[in-house]
Amino acid sequence: MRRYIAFVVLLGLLLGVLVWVTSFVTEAQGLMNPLAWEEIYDLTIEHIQMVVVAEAIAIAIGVPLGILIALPQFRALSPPVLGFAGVGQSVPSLAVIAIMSPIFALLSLNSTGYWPVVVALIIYGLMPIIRNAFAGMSNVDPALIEAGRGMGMTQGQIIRQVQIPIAISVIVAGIRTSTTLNVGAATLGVLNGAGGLGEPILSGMATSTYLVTLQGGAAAAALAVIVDRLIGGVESWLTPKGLLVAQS
Amino acid sequence: MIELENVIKVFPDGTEAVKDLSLKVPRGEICVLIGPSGCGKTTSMKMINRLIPITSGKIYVNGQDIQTFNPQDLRRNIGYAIQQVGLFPHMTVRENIEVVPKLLGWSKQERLKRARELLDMVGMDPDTYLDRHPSELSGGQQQRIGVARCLGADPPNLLMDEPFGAIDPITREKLQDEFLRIQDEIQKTIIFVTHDIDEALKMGDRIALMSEGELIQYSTPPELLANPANDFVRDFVGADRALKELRLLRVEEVMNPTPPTVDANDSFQVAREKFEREDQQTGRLRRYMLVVEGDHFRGWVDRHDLDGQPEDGHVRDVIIKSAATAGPDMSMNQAMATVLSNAIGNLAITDEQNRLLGLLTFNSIRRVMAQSYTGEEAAEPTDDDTLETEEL
Ligand SMILES: Nc1ncnc2c1ncn2[C@@H]1O[C@H](COP(=O)(O)OP(=O)(O)OP(=O)(O)O)[C@@H](O)[C@H]1O
Ligand SMILES: [Mg+2]
Repeated sequence: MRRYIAFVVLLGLLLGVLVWVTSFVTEAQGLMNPLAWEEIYDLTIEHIQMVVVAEAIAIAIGVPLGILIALPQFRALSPPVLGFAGVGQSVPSLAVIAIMSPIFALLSLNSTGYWPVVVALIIYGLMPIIRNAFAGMSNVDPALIEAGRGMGMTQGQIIRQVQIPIAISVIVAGIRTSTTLNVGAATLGVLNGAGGLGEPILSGMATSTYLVTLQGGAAAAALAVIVDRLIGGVESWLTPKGLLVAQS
Repeated sequence: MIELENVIKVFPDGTEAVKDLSLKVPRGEICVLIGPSGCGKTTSMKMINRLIPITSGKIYVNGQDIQTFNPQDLRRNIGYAIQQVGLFPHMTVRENIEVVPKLLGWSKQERLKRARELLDMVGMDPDTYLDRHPSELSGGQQQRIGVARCLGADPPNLLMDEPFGAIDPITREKLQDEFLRIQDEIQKTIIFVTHDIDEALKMGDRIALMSEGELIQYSTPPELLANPANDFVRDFVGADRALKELRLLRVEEVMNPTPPTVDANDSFQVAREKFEREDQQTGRLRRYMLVVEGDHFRGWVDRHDLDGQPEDGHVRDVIIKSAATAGPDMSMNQAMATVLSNAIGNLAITDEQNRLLGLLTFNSIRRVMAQSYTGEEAAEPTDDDTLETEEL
């Protein structure tokens, strides 16, 4: 299944490149009309907004959920939760977005625009967050948890004072993966009328002004790299010093 | 004080980990729990701080039933050192030591004062180590911090699960010695789990030997060595138990406190007379005698060296000075090693000012060992100072 999807995606990409290259020959005119930077800037802000809202909600759901299912009393819930989140991610992002629109319509909500896309991004971004939060928490050495318990810490104190500080870098790494993925996935939001950097990509292709497509693509790629670095920085900033020493 | 009364633990899977365990650890004593792997040591210990619920029976800490406490309160008042040390890697040494004081709501100043005090106690410089992380410490230092941490809030009772496990023998001995020194001051009631019979004999005021969830023998180390309850205990303690017993004895308990001596300023004639008098009293030929000057130990004299000397000479002219000495607190196994590596075959026992306190001879060591094997005084009349060493 996954392989098949990867294959289709790859095929699509190749097709896109092919169309783009032929366009150089046939539509050289269109290339000369790039978008103004202000427009790119506005679209980037729109894009960031979409991703930030989706991620904030995904983090708010995913981190506590990942932590919860790592606790001994809820450990039994971990296979179904991780399984569900896994499905959310293995379906192509395009499909997740496409499915959201009819679901919103079924619920008699506005089925176009921003919110169906945000919900799709939340679902798409949950998996890395839940999985890392779960892994980070459950990989804490049981001896440390026992030491905490034996010294009279409550479960809440153990979670806050022992497990989370030790797992924090793994948890943030999950957020980083999720956000980077969603910066890319959000470009598809345009298909549901949500705007963002998908807009120049799509309109450029539609009107054969491929420079515009390139502008949108480059801005999205740059955003992904910046977000990745930024959260990477947060990750090492949040990692307790004692653990950094242990790694070096 | 910790008391277990008919404690039974059956795990949900049916494993009977502890069968009817009754044990009383008086205030200020170290009770060592020892036994083969899986005999229920850790389980017994964890029932005391309610990390594992008991199936039936009663446990009292300082006379109060542990079930009447809230588990967190109970645990905050019982120091607990887990086997794997379990220092929190993301916390500094100081934060690790302050865990329980913080849970108990001590003020920042009180906590810092206590952390410094404890670092001093375990022999680590506070200014150097307070802000280090566990990953910046050696294994031995980590174990020290583990001990310091369980003493954090100065609880009267401690549970220690192999606190000196997984460490090289030399560091281990050092930590044991330090811990005994600390215990001398702090007088905690301690349950101490170990796999190592030598550690048990050294650390324990009493030893509880367990097997398959049952308490086989609960007695003091010398008693365990001298009167093993059954073959299991005999095997567990090992065939060299007489040697082990030597570890428990201090030189002071074995030495002859009033050995015959000659003074460095005695003439050869006086010295020869002393040798002869001793020979007559003991019926044996004596080869060496201690030389003192007033109270102070000066060396040894070999009676052969007295022969053919000019009559106006003194003992100090022929004194053998190179002999080793030992303090009265030295353990007998160490003293024996010293005796065996010493040409004279005897050991002068002196205090720090080199005043003579007594004499330890190979024969006296043999007598102690014979006693522990047969359980009674050796019948042979013994003479501490008879020397049967070869010619020098
Ligand atoms: N949670 C549990 N469920 C079932 N059986 C258990 C559990 N914990 C321990 N046991 C069993 O109880 C017995 C005693 O275990 P315990 O850990 O107390 O042994 P121990 O004397 O501390 O051994 P070791 O010296 O290896 O640490 C063992 O047979 C062990 O397999
Ligand atoms: Mg154990």
